Amino acid sequence: MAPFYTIVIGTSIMLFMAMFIVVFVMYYQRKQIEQQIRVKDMEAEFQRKLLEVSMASTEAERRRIAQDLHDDIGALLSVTKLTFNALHSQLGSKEQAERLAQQVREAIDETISHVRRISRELVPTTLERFGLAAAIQEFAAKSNLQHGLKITFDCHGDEDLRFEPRAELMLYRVVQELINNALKHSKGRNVHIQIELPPRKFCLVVEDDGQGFDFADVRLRPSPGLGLDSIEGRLRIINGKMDYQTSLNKGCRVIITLPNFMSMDSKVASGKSIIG
Amino acid sequence: MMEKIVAVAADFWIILPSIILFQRRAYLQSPLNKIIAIYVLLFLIRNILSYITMELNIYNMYIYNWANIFSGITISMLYYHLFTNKYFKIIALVGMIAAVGASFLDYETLFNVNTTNFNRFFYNILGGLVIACILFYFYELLQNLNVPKLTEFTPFWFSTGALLYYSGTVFSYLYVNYTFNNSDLGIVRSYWMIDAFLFIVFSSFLSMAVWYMKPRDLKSDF
Repeated sequence: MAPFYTIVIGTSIMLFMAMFIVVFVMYYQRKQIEQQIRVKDMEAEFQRKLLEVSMASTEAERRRIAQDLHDDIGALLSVTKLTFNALHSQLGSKEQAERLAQQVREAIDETISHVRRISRELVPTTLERFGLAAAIQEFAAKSNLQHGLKITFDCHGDEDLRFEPRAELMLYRVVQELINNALKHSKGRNVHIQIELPPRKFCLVVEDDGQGFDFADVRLRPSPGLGLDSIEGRLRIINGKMDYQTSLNKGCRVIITLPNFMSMDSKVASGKSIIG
Repeated sequence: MMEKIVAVAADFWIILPSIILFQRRAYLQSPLNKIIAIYVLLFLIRNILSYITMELNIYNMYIYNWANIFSGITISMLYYHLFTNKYFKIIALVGMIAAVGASFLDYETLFNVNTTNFNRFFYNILGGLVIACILFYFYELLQNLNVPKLTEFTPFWFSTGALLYYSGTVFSYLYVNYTFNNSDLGIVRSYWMIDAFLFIVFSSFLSMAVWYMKPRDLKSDF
């Protein structure tokens, strides 16, 4: 064979091998990266499901405790109160006995109201009966009475619209956590809750005029605090997004949105029920 | 005539990555980008010098021999920087020291300006070493999987160009050097044609490598 052709063929073989190696590396690397992404997605989905199951079991346990408080302890206390009233009527009208009886009655009344409150807080019955807006409004009103902070509530959109129970509960718990954060840490005077309900969009804003915080700094801590993990976990379950707008001495504004909401318009129109 | 056009085109093709390099000069803080810039500039200087000497009918083979040594050192520095595996680092370093040492055994090709011969040892060892380094680097890329897009990754473009250039030229170099001992001018010309053509390809890949330079080395560069 002529030397020129030997060179050309030999060089071509070498180049072909080099090209093969490059193409193989590109193909194999892409496949491996895709595989890695798939595994990561599966892990994230598994974590999400695990979180969902964990939160569902927490809610079930709360429900059971609330039920026990209401049905057993609440009933027992009511019976005790009735029995005591009967006993009191037998005591006559001695002054000392009258005063003690009054004290015991007040203690029992207070215990009953505490049991009712705990029971209601464990399972938000307003949420189940009247929906997210009403439940948040009720929670805000209660928090208003108990703390020095002024909490205002504003709602736009169709207030009668109902979400999937799981989504409603998750959003309610998130708002609870955010309001508690504002009450405990913000050192502000006002908290404003604004909820924009469908049909236009879903958006929930909780803002305060307190001291704010460095979000990046809190995020970098090994245990972030402020219930951020819990809030993010709950939102992940319903595919919700959270945006923190805060910095030192500039208050805090948290915006919660459900990006997948738009695609659920048909459900809104037909069944007035939305999955988060 | 054709040979002359290809040779001149090969000499001037290096201007393309040089221009892009000038445009990307702000990114030269990173060690990786610096090494690639040195490599491009080395070939730019070599090609300018060889073109001038060719036009003046002055022997220029010793320029190629020295340029090969410097380019070999630069490449070994580059892969030494890129490798994460310490054994690969050692291979890149020791291999290059051995190649440079061996090149001085044929000192006539380095110090005699009228030489017409390639350095008998350096290019063989350099070709083998560069191909080995590139294969090791590809192996590390597949092991670490920390580069999401290879087509936008400077070391990948550089390595691909270098693999094509060195694997393509090493065979013809060995064949011409050891079968004909540089005696058949027609065959030597064939080698230079292939070298020039592959250098155009390599310069094009170098341009892509320079184009995708990042302002600083990322974790995925290592």
